[in-house]
Amino acid sequence: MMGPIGRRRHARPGISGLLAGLFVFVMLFTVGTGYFVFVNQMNTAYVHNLAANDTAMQGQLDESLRVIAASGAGGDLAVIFQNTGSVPANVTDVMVTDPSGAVHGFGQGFSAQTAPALPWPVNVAATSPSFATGLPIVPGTYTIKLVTQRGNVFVSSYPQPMTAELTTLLSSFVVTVGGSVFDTATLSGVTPTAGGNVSYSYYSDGLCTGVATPVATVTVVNGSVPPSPPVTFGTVGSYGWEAVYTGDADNSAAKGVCEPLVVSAIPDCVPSNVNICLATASQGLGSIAINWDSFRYYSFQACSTGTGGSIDAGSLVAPTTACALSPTKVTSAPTAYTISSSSWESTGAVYHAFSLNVTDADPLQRTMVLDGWTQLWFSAFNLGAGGGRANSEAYGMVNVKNAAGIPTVPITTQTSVPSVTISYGQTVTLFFTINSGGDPDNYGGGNVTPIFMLFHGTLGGSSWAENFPLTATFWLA
Amino acid sequence: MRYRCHRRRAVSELVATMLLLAMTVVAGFALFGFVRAEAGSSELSYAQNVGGTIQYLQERFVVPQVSYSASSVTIYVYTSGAVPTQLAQVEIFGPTRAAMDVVYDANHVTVNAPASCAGQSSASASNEAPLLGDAQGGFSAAVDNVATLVLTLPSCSGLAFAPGTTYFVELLGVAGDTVTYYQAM
Repeated sequence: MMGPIGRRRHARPGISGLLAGLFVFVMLFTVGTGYFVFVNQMNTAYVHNLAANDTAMQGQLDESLRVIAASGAGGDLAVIFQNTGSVPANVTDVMVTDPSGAVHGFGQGFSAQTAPALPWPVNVAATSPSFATGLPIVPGTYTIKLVTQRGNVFVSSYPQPMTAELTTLLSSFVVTVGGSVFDTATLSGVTPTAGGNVSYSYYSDGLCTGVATPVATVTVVNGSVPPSPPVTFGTVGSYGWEAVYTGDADNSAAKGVCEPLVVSAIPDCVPSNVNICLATASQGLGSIAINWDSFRYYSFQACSTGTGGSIDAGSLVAPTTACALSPTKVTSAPTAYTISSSSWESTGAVYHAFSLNVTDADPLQRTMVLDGWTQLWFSAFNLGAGGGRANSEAYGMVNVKNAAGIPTVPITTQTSVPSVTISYGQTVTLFFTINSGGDPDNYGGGNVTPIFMLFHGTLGGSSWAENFPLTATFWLA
Repeated sequence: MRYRCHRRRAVSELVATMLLLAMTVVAGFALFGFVRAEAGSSELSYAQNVGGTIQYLQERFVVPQVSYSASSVTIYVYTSGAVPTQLAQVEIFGPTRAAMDVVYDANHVTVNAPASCAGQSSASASNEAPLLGDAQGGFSAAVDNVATLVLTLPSCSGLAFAPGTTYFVELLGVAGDTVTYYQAM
């Protein structure tokens, strides 16, 4: 039995604590969720814009347009766009600075428009139509800038800068000691008002390497280039001339090719009449094509027997097919050429200057090497069948460009020369003088025919005799 | 002696319960309010931060061209971004900052160099056309559009654009992007 104090109480949960906990949870959940959603939205927006920015920057890098300005149908300035990038482009504006410096804007944001109107999309590798600006073309340079939707700016000009070419011609490729040479440069591909300077110089080798010796710097006036002053050469050897154009605001710079020059010792007489016979030959192991159109023969003026003279500027001698050579044997040889002189009568004529261009034309595209085994042969007599007396008469390698120089004494045996490498497709100029050797001019009396051939390779006696004299076989080194 | 047992609730228990409830509700709402205020403050700060960054990302512009006269420069501004371009400041200097340095903003035109012309004047339509800043009617280059801004040098002997000299134009967008362009007069 329990009294009032000891009565058992019923256990009841505290509703206030439960409700309070629930309220607090709901409130905090609401605030937390809202905060989370907000941050998530912000983050999404940030990531979205960051990605859009990255995409825009990448697109900007991939975008490339070529601007071509030209005279339009009405004689006004017209612009064409070529998409050379990897993404489509959208041209929104074109800005033209005319020769007076005034800026003309066309497209979005400007009151003026091109025809057709901008913006204009240009797909990859596509070319836009011509956009007429309505600006009359006046003398001077226009600068054209186009703006793409991505914010790239591409620039061009009208008229386009010219690509200048400089061609040069020496007054002579071979001179004797004490002779003088001057160079004449000619500009092409330049504007009529081209200015700038051309500098002439020469080198102490035929490849224009090493230190240049300045000759003169001349001023170009309206595209016309004055020649260099003459330079006197007092030392036998090989030289190279070079001319360089500085260009100007409207024309690019340019450099002429190296022009080889040979300064030889003062020679005796040379034949006054030279004919060239080109014989067709089959393909050999290797092949060097000799360009007879480049054959240049340097004769003597006022020549008298046994005395020297001055070498002229040389003359290109056209090949003739009227050669009557015997034998006409051609065996496994690519080319055969002869030089004949109907008046090769001068006793003691020992130096005759020639030059020709030789190209490595090996079908296998291998590199040819003209070295100590290379022999340039001359025969100053008619040969009998099978080679006749060729093996004991005039022969000998005389000179290869950039080699030891033109010999100063008669050569009766093969001359050892440094190697000259001719890469496939490359052309070099060979300079040589004829070595008459054992008085070939007097052989047999009457007209004689000097014949030269270019041999390369370790030819055995029988081999070259078999091919001699009309074959010029180039064996691979 | 027997006592009859009266079933009475104590007043104190009821009051206590009500007090507890009231305190809990008040404390709960106070806590809710505090948390909500803190969250709101944090959201505002975060939103301003992210919003500024987004605006910075959306603000892209280039200067494709300027043209000079002896006393003024016309700047062509193209907007390649997602929002119109408004400029907070433009600085013109060249060929070095010691030779010429003039800063334009929404309120002032400040000449830092040459020293003989150093000083500050109020920005107005006579030296900023249109005015810089983000105010209504100020300079604004719409998206994918070119807009021109003409800045005139303050009148001072020795302060002029010289032919053949290269000048730099440094633009500061209201979102913080900068673009520098240079071109000879």
